[in-house]
Amino acid sequence: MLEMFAAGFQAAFTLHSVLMIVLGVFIGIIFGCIPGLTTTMAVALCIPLTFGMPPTVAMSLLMGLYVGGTSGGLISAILINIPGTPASVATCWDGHPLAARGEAGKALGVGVFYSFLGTLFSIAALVFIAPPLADFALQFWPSEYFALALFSLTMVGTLAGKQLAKGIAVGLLGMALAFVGTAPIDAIPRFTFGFHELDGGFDILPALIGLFAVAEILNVAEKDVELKKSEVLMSFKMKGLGFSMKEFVGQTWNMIRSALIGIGIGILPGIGAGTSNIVSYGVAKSQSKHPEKFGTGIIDGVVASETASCSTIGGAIVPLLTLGIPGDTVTAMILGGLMIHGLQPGPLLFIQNGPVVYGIFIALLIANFVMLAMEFFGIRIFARLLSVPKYILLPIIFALCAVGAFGLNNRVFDVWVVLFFGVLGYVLQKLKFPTSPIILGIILGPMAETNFRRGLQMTNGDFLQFFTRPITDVFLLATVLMIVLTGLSHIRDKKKEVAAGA
Amino acid sequence: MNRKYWDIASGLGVIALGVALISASTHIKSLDVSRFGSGFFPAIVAILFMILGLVIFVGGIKQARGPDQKVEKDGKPRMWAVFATFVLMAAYATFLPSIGFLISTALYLFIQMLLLVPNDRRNFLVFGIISIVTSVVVYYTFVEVFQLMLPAGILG
Repeated sequence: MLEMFAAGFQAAFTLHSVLMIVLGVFIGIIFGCIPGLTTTMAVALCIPLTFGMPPTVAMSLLMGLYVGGTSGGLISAILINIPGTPASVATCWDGHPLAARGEAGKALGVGVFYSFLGTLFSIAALVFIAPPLADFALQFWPSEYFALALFSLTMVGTLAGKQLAKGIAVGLLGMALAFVGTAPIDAIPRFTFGFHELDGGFDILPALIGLFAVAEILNVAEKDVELKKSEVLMSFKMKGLGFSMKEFVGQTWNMIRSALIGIGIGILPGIGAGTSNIVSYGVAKSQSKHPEKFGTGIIDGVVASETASCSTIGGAIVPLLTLGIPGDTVTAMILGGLMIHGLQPGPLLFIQNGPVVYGIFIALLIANFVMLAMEFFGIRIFARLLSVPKYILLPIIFALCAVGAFGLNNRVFDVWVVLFFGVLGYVLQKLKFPTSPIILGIILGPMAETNFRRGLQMTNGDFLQFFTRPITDVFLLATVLMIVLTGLSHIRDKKKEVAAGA
Repeated sequence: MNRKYWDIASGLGVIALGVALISASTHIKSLDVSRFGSGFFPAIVAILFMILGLVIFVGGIKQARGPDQKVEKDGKPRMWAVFATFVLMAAYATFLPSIGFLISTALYLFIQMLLLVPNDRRNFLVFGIISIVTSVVVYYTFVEVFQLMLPAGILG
């Protein structure tokens, strides 16, 4: 393992890579801190930049974006009480009251520092969990991957929240969209509607760009809300880290618990920092000796939210690299980026492309330090960016979306795909369908189908033989359990609602 | 249409999707030896669509019996702006190959900014400069630095 690290270090610690990490963190923080722009978008728009780069350099840029973007949301959460990305929703709840009290410097200091610690923890977890997990996954047969994909699909229930039926429908829609193109195994073209450009199916990148960037632009066109300059709190001072040693010691347990929550939620397929920061805040509040103070501006809340959201990073990369299942929306995008460079995530990646994998670990680590320095010393620059008007930013973003989509295969057809998915995302949002389950469907649907049919070929078409494999059984059991639990909690929530309404 | 009927419509939409998918999937030939060919997964998804569509539809009926829902508090959505933005984006995609990236992007940016900006902040000169500069910078950054092909169009 040490020699792998040395190889990774050699690959990622070149001038070219480090420059890309710095660029990535910088762009990431900008996308993170401006509400309406997300980390997912940043990765989508920057993937075309990587086409001509060697894989490790490309991954360095993407890791910089991931770390910068996930952390960057805290700036707007604290200064204008609007989360820059879904990863910083809970940071608003205590961060902004702190800032409003004139302690913005402290809130930012705590946020930045615990983002750093959270990321650091998660990188450690990634380094220790991923290689043995990849080793273990080497034994997986198609039936295991099929069962694992099914289990991962049940995460739709968590993503859907109260709109369970709609969430599942959207997940299925993702699966249906992924049917388009050449079918696995027997290579029959299906649902291409006569477009030969669709023979290879929808590329995931234009699909995600459309769903998460163009849909957002259409949303803003509809709302016409502008941020006024005066709303940004600019009168703050950064003094040291903004908190005392005593406060740091007092947060130890909160920090560890939040990091564990973040890492755990990160590892679960599909759900990421947008969920972990809220869960962690909730747990911190319920476990606290003084829950009533939460929401009034105490650092506990900022620590819980920022540690958890950033420690999701390392967690989400675990299933991405070891199994090819993205841990959240950003890693879904990174999955697209990996495949463009001819890297197929999965256990074999560790054997065939060891230096790239370890290069990713090292790049994350460097990105984390760059993020700490950049946010600490450059926070005013980013705060100023918050007042750049949306009507100028969003058109530019769309032009970049078009560049990204076009550059993928050098064809305008993919720009149309972006538009199609943009409208789809917008309409779904309008009809109050949650949109994030669609990604799970798009990625896991083909994984489930391909491995199901591949597995059947190995067993001569006998599905029952799937059950003779213990690991498959464990995943299938977990799937059933998850469905039952989701169903039960949904029924319980409905009952509560009825009781509250009566 | 009143917002409270939207779920009924979406439910019916999801059911329709399921019906379309299942009828399409039965036409898929299979070269696979097993019983589960390329139409099997689509058929399962189609059946689930129909079930879920029904659930959403029934939920929608319950909702429709309830009181009218309030209009969103941010005021009336500017549907014309959404539609205009979409048309503009489609026009951009249409003209991109023929007139090239530089001109179509500059034009797109300029018109799109005018579409989104509140009336009192309209500034033709500033928008014009931003549009042209952005288009040029993006073009040369991608083509020269990142070696990406972009349509040159009539300027090429």
